[in-house]
Amino acid sequence: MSFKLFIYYCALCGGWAAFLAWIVVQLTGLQHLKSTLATAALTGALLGAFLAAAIGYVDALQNAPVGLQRVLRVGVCAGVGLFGGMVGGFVGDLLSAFLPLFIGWMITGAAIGASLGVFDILQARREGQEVRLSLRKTINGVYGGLLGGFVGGVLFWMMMKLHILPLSTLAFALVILGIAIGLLIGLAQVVLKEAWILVESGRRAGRQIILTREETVIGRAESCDIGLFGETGVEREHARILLEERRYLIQDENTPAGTFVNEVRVTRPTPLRAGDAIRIGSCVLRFGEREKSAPPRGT
Amino acid sequence: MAQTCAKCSRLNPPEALYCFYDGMVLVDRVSPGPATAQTATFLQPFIFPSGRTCRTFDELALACQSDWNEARRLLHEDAFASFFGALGRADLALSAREAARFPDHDRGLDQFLADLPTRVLDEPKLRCNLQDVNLGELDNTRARTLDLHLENQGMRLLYGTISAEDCPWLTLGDPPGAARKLFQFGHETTIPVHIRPEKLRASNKPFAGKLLIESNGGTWTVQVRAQLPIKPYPEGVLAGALSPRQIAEKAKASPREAAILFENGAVAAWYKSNGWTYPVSGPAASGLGAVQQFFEALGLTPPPKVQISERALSLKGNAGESLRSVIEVRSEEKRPVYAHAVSNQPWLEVSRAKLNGRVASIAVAVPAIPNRPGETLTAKLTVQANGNQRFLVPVTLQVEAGVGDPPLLSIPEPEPLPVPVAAPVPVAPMPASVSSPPSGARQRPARRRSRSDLWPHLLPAGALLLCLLAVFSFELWRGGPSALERGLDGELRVKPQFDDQMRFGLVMLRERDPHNPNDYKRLTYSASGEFNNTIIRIDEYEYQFGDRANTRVWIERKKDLSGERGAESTMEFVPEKVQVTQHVEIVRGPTGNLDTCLIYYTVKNHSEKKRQVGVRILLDTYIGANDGVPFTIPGEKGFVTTMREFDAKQVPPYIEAIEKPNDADDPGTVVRLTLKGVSVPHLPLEEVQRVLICRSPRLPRVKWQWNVQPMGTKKEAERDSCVAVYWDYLEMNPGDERHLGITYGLSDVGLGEGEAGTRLALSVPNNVEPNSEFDVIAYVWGAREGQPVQLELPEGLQFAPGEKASKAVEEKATRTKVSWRVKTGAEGTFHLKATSGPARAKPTRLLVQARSIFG
Repeated sequence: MSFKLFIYYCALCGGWAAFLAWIVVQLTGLQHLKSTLATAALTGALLGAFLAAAIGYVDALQNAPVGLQRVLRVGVCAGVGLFGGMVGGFVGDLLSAFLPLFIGWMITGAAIGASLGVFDILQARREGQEVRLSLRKTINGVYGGLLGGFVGGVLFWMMMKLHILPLSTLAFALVILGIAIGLLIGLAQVVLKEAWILVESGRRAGRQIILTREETVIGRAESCDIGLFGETGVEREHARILLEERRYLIQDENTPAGTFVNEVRVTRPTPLRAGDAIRIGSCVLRFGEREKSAPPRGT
Repeated sequence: MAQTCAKCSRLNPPEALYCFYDGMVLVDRVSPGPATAQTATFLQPFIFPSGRTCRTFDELALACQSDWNEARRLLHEDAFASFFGALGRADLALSAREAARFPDHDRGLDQFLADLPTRVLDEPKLRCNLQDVNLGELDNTRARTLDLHLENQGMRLLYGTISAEDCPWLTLGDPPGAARKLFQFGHETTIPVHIRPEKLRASNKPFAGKLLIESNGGTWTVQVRAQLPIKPYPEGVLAGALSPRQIAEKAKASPREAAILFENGAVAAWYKSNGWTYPVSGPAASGLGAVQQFFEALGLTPPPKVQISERALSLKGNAGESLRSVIEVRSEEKRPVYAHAVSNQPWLEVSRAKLNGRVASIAVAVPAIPNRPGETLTAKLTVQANGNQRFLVPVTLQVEAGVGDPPLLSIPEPEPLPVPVAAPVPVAPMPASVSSPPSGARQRPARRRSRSDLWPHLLPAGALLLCLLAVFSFELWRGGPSALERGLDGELRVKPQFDDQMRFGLVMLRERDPHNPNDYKRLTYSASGEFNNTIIRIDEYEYQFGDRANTRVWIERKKDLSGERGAESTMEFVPEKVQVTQHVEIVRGPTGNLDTCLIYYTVKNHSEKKRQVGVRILLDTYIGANDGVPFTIPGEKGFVTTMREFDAKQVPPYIEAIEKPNDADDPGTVVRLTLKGVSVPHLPLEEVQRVLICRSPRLPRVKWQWNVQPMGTKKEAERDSCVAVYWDYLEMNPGDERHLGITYGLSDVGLGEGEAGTRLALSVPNNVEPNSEFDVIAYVWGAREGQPVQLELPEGLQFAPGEKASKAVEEKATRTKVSWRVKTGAEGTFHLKATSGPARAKPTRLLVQARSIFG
């Protein structure tokens, strides 16, 4: 999946998730609870869980290995989204008399955005790795969610002012809110990414993966972060991209076919620069890195 | 005694011999005889180079006049200035120097001569040989010239201008001439006047022009007259036509024969021969299209509406190939269509349109596709058809890449890496199936994404849109707003009507006025609201909303909001920069039907100052033919029949009135003015601060306060009621907004079956918040004093502390009421029942609902 498709599917899944949340709200009668606060909190929770799960799934497809981990990721996202949506709905409704309505949406959006990075943080902690990149991903998600909540909230508010066909207006408004949150979370992840890999040739040419962990494994095993399934000359765990002292290094896993950077065989951890071509078996990957700010002068 | 100069009339000192300003001899001081300045002999004579000797001013002036060129040269060389300086006439020396500096030397000499103290030179005087010229009939193919002789009948220099006023067909001077010309001469001159008949438009009336000559020797006017008769059309079916209208008449009689004359330009040439502008712009059409073109240009027939077959053209081919396409302009109307097209690119050629009745075909061709493989060229085709209808057709030409062409996707090559980042080791042999990419070079992606690849990604988006449309359609099908929720129809039961000032009245669409069956039954005294008004009080001033003046202007008046359901109008109070928006719209009321008018105002302070703003709505209430119905106030005993005022704490949730309160069998229409709990999605409405029930002032422009009177006598027929609703006069900061609203519309009392003369009906609020208290009213007809009335509450509702389910009627009356304070719990819909002996009220629906941020 390219970054453009990733953003597109984040938005689309956001819209679908919001639509499903609307259906559940209508079927369960959540809008007719005893108090508006409860209605707002539960509706927010439902919306947050659905949205976070949907966007988390797209993120897992893009950046996570196949298998159980994807399910776990989606589950963690849904949990964080549920909690964040509940808080957002509750606080938003509580403050609606004093503050603009979209405050609640922004809180919900921020929680959904944060949910994308929570699993990475937990995984890094478990594996004893640094959490800097995972934290960065979480923060990027929060930025996107806040902005998406704001934009979607304003659109939601404008639509609800139309006073036409209440049911479908609410459905349209929620879908627009979901699309806005999904779109901007996806956009924030892509725009604010630090380092990434583009598969230039091979069976999955065109796929783009954001590097969000200290150690990214490349190979044909399902557990690999960058899976090169079915490629000739690729070992189960072929190479690793390591983040050390803010530098990305590539390390070959002593494979017979070897790993090449710009057609030079890698024999030890080798620094990567933006634009470097990594050849693993029949696949060529292109390493991309955001321009780093100059290090401070002096000691 | 001061002396006055005889020439310039200026004053000079008593002892002066000569005028200080012009050198003239001051007569009073000079003894009689010849010893005057002009005749007085110079101490030394002025001798011209020719040998002419001048001993006096007179001689000098005459010598300059007769030997003008020599005098001009001497003046320019300061000879006169030196001479007069030596004579001790500093004034004349100065005058000579100033004259010498004059840009035009002739004018300088003339100026100098005018300053000399002499009378021998006469003033210049203009004369012209012509005064009135009749040129007779002109031929507009031949220019003519007229000579104007100007003569100076005086002396010195004559100068001025000659102009042809407002007649462009006369020009002056050398060909082609100008409308204005300067002249100067000593004795005489000739100025050619050109008659330019091509500037004349043939007419049966004579032309007149005027030449105006203005000079220092006087003004002269020359009248010039001429005629340019219309040339009749010389030949063919149009022969003898003397005007465009006659041409049109003859062309209408023989359109096919005339068409040839229009098409070949003969008519255009005839226009030109008469000096007229041909009305058809652009190339002439062919066939009957040419006649249609002429008729349209004259405005004798409207152009048909035409359509173009191609809004855009997309061409594709290899370099050097030729391409052709055809664009058609056609009309549904039975009139000839003509068109022509122009291309803005040399590689795109357009042919003359082929006209065939209602279709004009324009061939577009690329004779040779430019040799720019891989590029997409663009051009614009401007097609102009009947009545100057224009179409802009974008044309794209995709030049296909041949063998060996540059790659389709051009990606900038990255810089080669200067230093290897890892220790180089011998490169392992590449697998046979893998081609080795060059070092540092970026490969092209395996394939480009085609459009067909995108469709699978668009499907889920399309499915989502379809789902939303399905929900929308379903809700619409079920009958409009809230239909899904309530299963009700979308028919309007009441309708607001507005006057010019956007004051509004309310009528019932399903019932007729008891006094006039042709009209709808009214719910306000005036059907169009003339006796209702809204006062906006800003700082020290009171304004009536909708009363337009210089200080208050309409920003927007949008009627027919959501069909005929209402109107929104915004007025700005200019000096205070406060904008007030009145929103009137029919919404669903307590009956669940579209029978209630929501009225709300948004006040916004756009100024940079704090403003004190208050709003008062006056409703002249009325039901059918009853102007003085008693009002029911929830929680209060009895009915309001005279006057009542409520402050902020006392404002009831609603006020209700019944058209025929004493008729238990047919109480008629029930109206309700809701004052609390009115909600507009996402607009925080302020609480009403004061309510006044009284006699209607019946003055359309009544102010914030007026002389309030009770509703009237005890007789209902003589009563006259109104309700005024106030929102406080509050300070608004710059940018602040206030939202104020009420509803007014129909209600329903659950009138049940009665026995033994007793009837019961229940009245409850429209919508109650969860965990709040409200009043339930039971109207009782034909009850005796002390008769018990029982209210049955469903589960989820309970009586407020101190309330009992059973209450006794406190007075004997045709109609009375009993009320209870009830407390709500959770949200939901509840049905309330009341009984009194065998009499029962119809179960009444109560909606307990709150709104969250999720709508």
